[in-house]
Amino acid sequence: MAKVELPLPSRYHFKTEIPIRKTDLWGELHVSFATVLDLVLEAHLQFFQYLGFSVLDIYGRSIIFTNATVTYESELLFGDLVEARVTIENLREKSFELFFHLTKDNGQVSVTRVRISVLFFNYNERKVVPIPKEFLDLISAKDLDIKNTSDDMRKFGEVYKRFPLWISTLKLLKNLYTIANDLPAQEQEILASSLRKYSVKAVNAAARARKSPYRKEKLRALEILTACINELRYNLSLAEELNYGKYSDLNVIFSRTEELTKAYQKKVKSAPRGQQSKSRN
Amino acid sequence: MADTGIPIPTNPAFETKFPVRHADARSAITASGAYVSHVTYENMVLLINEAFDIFLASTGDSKWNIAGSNIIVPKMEVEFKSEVKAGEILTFQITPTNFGNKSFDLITVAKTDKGNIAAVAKTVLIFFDYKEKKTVSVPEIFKKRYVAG
Repeated sequence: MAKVELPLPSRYHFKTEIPIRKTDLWGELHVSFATVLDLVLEAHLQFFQYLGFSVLDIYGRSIIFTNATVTYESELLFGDLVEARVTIENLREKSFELFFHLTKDNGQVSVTRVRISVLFFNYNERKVVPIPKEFLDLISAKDLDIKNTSDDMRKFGEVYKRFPLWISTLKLLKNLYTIANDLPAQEQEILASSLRKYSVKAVNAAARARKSPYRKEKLRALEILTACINELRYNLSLAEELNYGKYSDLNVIFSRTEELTKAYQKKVKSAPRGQQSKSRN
Repeated sequence: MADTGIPIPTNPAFETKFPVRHADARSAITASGAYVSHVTYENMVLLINEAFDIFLASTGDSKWNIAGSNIIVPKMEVEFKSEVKAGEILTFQITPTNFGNKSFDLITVAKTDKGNIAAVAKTVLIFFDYKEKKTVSVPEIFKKRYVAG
């Protein structure tokens, strides 16, 4: 049989670390070919969580895997720390591919490469459906790639990493900073600094909405967030008027942020009044 | 039922931490319509066992060879104190205590990153010779590590 070649992607969207457990070993030897795919599944689930979805509900649809190509390059032993990197490739109308690269020893040793073909699936009708337009837009929106954040920042981010609204505002911030940096020098003091200011405010408001134990503060933070989003949209439209660029590809992130804000608002409002708010009465 | 209340050691002998995987959790819609996704009780036992393996490896031992001997587990009790979700990092504090002639208790305390106690387990371990099929004394070298004097 011809040797399988899986060329590595030039960029990754997501990285996670998975320590190898004793129970991952087969016969006290090493991680078996089958268990390697359990690690890949773990990285897959974390990746979609990072994007703000459950794999069972991506804009109302689910996904299924139709094939997997796997290469095994080195052993995994108890105590190894695996780094799993994930990229979406070959995004088409009805299918896309997920590429996983598992390494160990700080990325020095390549362990496994996996390419999986994915289709969107409707479990109620038991049939394959097209990729939701919103998902296509979200993935093709620029700046999904991972950046080199410092350890401290990453640790801080851990707290909010699983909060879709915070992830969404952070994505906005990264895009808006790129736009702000590209604006001409005479706009740096006004338009660019306004974009930076309101995108930072939005991220902080999302964090506060999540963190505050008080319903009133949560709702206030969400109001501030909404105001920031409006301000940012307005500033971008000004930038467009002044012919600095076309920013319509950001609409999908804006709409997603607004959707998530409304959903969280609804959740906070409908939550039963907790002990913390009672004790303040 | 009366709370058996496993005593929590003030000076743990060993500490390790690792992240909870999605595979450790189960997700479902409950009868009341709520979506729940958390570590289930049986999987918490697997995590406690994993912490035990890491504890043994820290001194170069394993379940197959603890200071030249082996163990069996005649009893385990677990108290579940708070909910744990995938992605959280659990800290496990492990203390061998209550040494007898042939057995000892292993207390494992699992804590969430907020410092809440997630679970407390007491595992009774008896040293055992699989060839002779009988219990044997606690190896001195093992006991000395955890008992003063």
